[in-house]
Amino acid sequence: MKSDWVTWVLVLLGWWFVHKATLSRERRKEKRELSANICSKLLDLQEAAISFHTDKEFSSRISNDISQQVHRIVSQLQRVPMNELDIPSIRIIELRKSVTLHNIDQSDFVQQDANSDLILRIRNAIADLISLVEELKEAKWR
Amino acid sequence: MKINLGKEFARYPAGRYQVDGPNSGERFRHEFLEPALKNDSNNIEIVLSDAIGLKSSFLEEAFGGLVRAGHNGAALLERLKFVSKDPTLPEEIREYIRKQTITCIQ
Repeated sequence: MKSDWVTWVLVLLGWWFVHKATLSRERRKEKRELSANICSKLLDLQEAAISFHTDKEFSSRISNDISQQVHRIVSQLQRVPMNELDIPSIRIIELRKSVTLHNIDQSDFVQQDANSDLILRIRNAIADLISLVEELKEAKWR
Repeated sequence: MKINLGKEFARYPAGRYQVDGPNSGERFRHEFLEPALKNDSNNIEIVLSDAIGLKSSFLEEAFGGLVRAGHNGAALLERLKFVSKDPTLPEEIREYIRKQTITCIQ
């Protein structure tokens, strides 16, 4: 009778540990998927920003769309659970500046060459941010 | 004094100069920041949280432009207080004020 009771306690404890480990693995998986999704959005932003800055014609609509894309990505990086990565603010500021400080308004818009400093700055800011997200993700959510 | 950028000026501020559109940084500076600095000697609280998609060009012109217009950078850093869900926005604005202060001294 007593040994039956002990067996049940062991079974329940075992189930509880397995359940907890499964939950924790699932949460880590969700977080990793979310960070992969943000990296993909950053690449979409890079594509849209380079396309905008290298275009012959200025488009007010695309200019505003791009700044909203930046806004959404930054908000996501600062929300739970992505805020657990503690992305340094300097990287986020550089992302916004690279895309929206120069050549984003009609008054100073000039079609950019694919290798111009502005385009390289966008590529660098986005590459640095993606590599940082990936490094931190590996360190925290492996 | 309190200025809510997203509610009192524009939910989607955009553009550096007035020629770039009605919701530009230049207009925000002329119509909101400069009068507030002139008429109120206390700190000015600027709420950024309700504005969406703030561009760096808007921020630079609105706040860096204050220093170019003759306002003292150190006093601006002291008097302007920001409310923002995104802590990088006030940091970026202070960077523009500091940078313009150095440029104006040189």
